[in-house]
Amino acid sequence: MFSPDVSAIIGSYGPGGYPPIINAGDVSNKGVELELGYVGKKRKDFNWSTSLNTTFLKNEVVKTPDGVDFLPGASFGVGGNIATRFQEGYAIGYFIGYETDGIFQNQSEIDNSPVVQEGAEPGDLRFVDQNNDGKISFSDDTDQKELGNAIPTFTFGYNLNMDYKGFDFSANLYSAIGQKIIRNYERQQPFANQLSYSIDRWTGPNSTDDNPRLTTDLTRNNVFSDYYVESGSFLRLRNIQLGYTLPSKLLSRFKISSTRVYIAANNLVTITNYQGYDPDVGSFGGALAAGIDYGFYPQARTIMTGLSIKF
Amino acid sequence: MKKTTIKLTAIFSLAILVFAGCQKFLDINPLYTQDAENYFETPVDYERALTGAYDLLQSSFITVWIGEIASDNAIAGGESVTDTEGLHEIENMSHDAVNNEIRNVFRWNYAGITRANYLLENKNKIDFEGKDEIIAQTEFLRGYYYFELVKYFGDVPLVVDKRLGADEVTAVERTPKAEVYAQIEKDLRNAADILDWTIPQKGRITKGACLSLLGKVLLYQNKFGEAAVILDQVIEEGPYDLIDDYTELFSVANEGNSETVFDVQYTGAEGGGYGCLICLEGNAAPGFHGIRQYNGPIYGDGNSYNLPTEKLFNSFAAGDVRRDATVLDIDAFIGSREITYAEGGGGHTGYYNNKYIKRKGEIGLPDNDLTSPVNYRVIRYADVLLMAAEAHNRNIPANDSKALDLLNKVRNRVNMPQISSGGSQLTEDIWMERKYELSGEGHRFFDLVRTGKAATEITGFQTDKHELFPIPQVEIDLTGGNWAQNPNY
Repeated sequence: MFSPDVSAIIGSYGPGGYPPIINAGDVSNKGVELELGYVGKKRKDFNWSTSLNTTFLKNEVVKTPDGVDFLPGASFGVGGNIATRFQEGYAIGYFIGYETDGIFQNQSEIDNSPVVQEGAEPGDLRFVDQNNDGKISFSDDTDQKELGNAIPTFTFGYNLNMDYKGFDFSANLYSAIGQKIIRNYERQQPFANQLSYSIDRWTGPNSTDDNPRLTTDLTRNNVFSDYYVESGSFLRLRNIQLGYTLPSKLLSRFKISSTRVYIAANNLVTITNYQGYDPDVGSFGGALAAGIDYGFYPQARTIMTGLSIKF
Repeated sequence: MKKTTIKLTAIFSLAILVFAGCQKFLDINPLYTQDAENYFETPVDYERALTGAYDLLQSSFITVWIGEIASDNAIAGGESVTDTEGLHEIENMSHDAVNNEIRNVFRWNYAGITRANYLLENKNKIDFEGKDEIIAQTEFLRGYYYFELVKYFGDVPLVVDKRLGADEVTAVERTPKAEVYAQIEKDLRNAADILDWTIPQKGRITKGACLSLLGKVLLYQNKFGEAAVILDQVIEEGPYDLIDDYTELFSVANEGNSETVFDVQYTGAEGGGYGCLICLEGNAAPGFHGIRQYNGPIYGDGNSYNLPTEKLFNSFAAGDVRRDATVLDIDAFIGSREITYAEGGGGHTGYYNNKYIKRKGEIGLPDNDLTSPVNYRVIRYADVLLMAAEAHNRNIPANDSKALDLLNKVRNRVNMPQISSGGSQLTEDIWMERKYELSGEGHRFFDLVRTGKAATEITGFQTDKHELFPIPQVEIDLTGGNWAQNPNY
């Protein structure tokens, strides 16, 4: 169910008012889920088991309400424009914005470009003219394209459990591959922190073709483009634990039936190329805001030691 | 055995009670299911619907912003150029059809119109004493909202006395401006016929508000003769007078003074947040105009938006008290005092809007950047005098002596020397006086456009384009893509 944008002349956008809630359409999810488990052969003092599960998923919107081409989703930036959509033929909440093609290195590149990009200055992102009309249009979507979505192509989880004599060990790995994340927590203003990549920003002709100049002037660099979209693939060691249970006869005279000491860690290792705090961003505000990183507080890496005594 | 009988009897009786009860409950109309179709059954329903129609007046803060920032009077300012980017684009005249602030103007005024139309659609459902006054106020409000839209967008879809379903919007076209104006005039004249010059309840529309807005609407169409007649009526019959001290005009303590023709009412008694500016009961403009990270007396800290330009500050004549009442020169104000503040990344001019600014003692509940109790003065008597002066001066035949008289009334109040020009020089003088008298109140851009001065006064202003704002692209899309965009957008 959605409350889609409706025309202003219906008059629903006053305080306390909102447009009618309608069925947003149909979404198809197709995929494969597999789970494999193995329990190791019992040997003297040594037991082990392992399991692997994996999901392949293709998500597609197959129907939107009559007369509606798409439902606008979440916005980008502060008071910015819409970056995600619910649209037939695409994944739910797919990202839509401008495609970049490097950086304008100098004024003559801007002047000689076959594509007019209004307001561009050296050091600004160069956008791709998707409809080949000779100019970048910022007032409609004709030069925007799909820039990925927040749904992993596949995910897998892996569990391992072992014990040997009094020792036990377990580990849980999780990985999601193929989803994208929108970096939506940077602000161009004095005294605001910047990510470390800003060190490699454009500072003059041919300094870099990757990161635009840093300025508090009005530029188009902060319209939503693939510059703000990153791979969100990651592999995370969610939990690892090592324990030792003391021999029971040792403690039975204190009426203690079992004593176990352990050391465990959550989120000890995360392998990802994502620049933000945490690639496991989830969604802040519904399916159409999935994959947008508003600067979430990351999941903590915790290391615990413990002693469990049973009487 | 006996026990069982009693039990059975008890159960049976209970069952009868329950069934009987059910039937009774099923017969009555359920409570609390009032909807759009069974509304307007009692006078209270009309009162409430009218309150709902009034509610959108509180969107006026956006016109205080855009009316100044689009003009030569002010820059957008704020925390950074991407913070409320729509205002920065308007400042630079680089705004296009994707602009959240312009879209807000479009959405909010149509919300007000729809609420007024809903009441007027049902105006004949019942009769009661006082209904005519309710209808009249509603007509005024519809006229006001349509006038806002025409000022911004030119031709806009004219919907009158009905609600539109989602399936009907694609059949709606942009109505020529002249037809919209005709409806506005009709609404305002109807309302003026019914309403009195004074109404006990603060903030309600009066005959003076109707006639003054009508005069303004006529002036915007260059109907000077008609405008002069209407505005003269306000001056001759209305209860208005200029207050002595110009610098006291914009305080909460002075609300409802003799110069008040039409105010939008705000209160600081309800809190609010950034998530929904239109939901606020307070005025968002004073806090937005406030001095960033300010620490000192008199003022409160704010967001450093809508910052007056040096051009405006320097344009005042020496000794004109309106300069400092309109523009706060922060460094001069601080002098050698221990006062600190910060410059915003969105721009800094050294000046702040001193009419609508957060002041200590006029602070609402949290978030108090948004909940100022300061009313927005939509039409002041000084504005009426200047509009009347302009109407008399530009009418054919002109009545310049009358125009001079009215203009000098406004100048006398602030002890500025008399003007004795005539003809087109007098027209220029009246327009300049509007700038001195009304800057910071959201009128400047629309005055510049109306008087053909915009291209010479506003940097980046393109003739035949920027007189109007673009219709939001998404609104064109949502109505089936049939509306033509305004020229050159």
